[in-house]
Amino acid sequence: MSPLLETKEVTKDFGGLRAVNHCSIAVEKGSICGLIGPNGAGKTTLFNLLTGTYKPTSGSVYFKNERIDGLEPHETCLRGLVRTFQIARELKNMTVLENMLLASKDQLGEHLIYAVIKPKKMVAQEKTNLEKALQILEIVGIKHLRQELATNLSGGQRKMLEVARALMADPEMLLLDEPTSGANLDETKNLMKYIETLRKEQELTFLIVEHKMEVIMNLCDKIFVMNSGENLAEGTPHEVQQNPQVIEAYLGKEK
Amino acid sequence: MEGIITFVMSIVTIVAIYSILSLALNIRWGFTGLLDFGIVGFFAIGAYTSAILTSPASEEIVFGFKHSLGYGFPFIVGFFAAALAGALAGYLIGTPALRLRGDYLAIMTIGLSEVIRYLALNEKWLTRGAQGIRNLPRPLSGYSVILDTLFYFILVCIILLILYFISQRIYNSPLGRVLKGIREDEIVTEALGKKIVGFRMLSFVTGAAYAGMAGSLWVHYSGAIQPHEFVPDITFLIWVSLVIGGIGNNKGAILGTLVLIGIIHQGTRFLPTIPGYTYLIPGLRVIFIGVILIICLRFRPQGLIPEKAVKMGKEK
Repeated sequence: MSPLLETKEVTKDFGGLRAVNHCSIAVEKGSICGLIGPNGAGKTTLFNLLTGTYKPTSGSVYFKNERIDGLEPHETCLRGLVRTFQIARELKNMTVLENMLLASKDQLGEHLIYAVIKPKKMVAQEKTNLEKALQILEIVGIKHLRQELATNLSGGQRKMLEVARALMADPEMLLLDEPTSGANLDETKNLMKYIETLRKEQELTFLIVEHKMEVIMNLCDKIFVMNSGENLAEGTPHEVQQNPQVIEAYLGKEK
Repeated sequence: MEGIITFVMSIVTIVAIYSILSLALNIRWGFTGLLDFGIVGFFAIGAYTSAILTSPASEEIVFGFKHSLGYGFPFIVGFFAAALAGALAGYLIGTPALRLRGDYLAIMTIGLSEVIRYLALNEKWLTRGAQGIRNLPRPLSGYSVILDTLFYFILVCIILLILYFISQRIYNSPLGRVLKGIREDEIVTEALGKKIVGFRMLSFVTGAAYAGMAGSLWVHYSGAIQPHEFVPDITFLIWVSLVIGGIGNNKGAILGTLVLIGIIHQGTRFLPTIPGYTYLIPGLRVIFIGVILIICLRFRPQGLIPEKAVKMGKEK
């Protein structure tokens, strides 16, 4: 079976700087993969290439066997590849629930005519989306804040909102960019448990950038290590921890 | 007594017409965050569309041009045509202009609104230039003045109410949510699967249609139209109204217009001029508006009626 998400020799140049260099990764459906590497290794740039924020200088990206590089960000999202941001980007002057419901797909009420006439069909859809949002908020532990403006949330809560909002977009695969940075221990544990549940129950696939090693090592089936824009190593958490190149990239070379 | 009633009615009519402009700006800037300084351009397009379609046909020679335009249609045709023309102009102008963001969009829109004014001034075959178009009809022209005025006053108020209702519906709908999402963070909204270009255009065009309708109501209120009415001052008066009233709040938009246009701008129109200082009062009025704006920004930046978050599913 071919992988759900695959990059082939993806390269991205910014002027003279090569941020991602012939990077090839493959993520199987239903797996939880980690993406690690020192700061500036190109992890977030790779995310931006996967979701259409940047177009690759060369190489290609496949999702569900279709080529997706060159698509717009909203198109990759509608195909089921949904991302979160490294620094939580909550919509500040909107409530938590508004943040959540914005992400729902195919909303009738986004058409002007429906918005003005407000037919039953649209109201019913809104209600279904609302129930779904409340369920997710309950699990990530911010349901009590649902009517609060997002700007009033703490750093950790914003991170939870970021993940919860992405789930509202009916993803098949989630790209999480440091989902637990800024989150406290409880929030982190809760989120890790939730990610595993989602994988089990909904067969969601994950690619997670994370600096907290205990998260990555306990959660992931497979880890990709990037350094200087290259895919340095890949394998199970155990294999990666033993890899001398990885140790060198993180700790430096013994002289 | 009758004089006072007519005076109040005329001021409320003017406020209602300007309120529609404020609602238009609120859709663009308040909901969607499009920094638009060209609202008067769409006001002018609506106004001229309605004026040309409803003015009586004539064959007279104006500035050496044979002016044969003027179709004599009833008011209602002019009104809906103005909405359509506004929307169409919004689409045509929006196509290049909405590629720009922030200040750049502001510069482009203010420039375009001036282009529209100069077109109206110079394309004499179409607009009669500086001489303007006169004798524009109202729905009840020909009946008694008081009946005509009263009917028009009620009509304008009803149209304002309908447009307010539509604005509220948009604001509280999933569509309004997307527009606000774009205002707050375009990149996130796009990453959540919304086609930003389309929604920005929808907001721009809806605002243009609103402004077009306001233009039509304006020319049939005043009965005549001249290019110099459509200077950028109007845009900035509407901006100040919206800032004072509350950006993002439709009620605020109307209240702000009432305060600024009704009380300060129109209410002081009949103050006696001081002999020897003809321009003193008009000058002071502008200064006063500026001071009010500064006070508002300093002490109540959210406006008289601040934007309210949409509370969904008020449950248990």
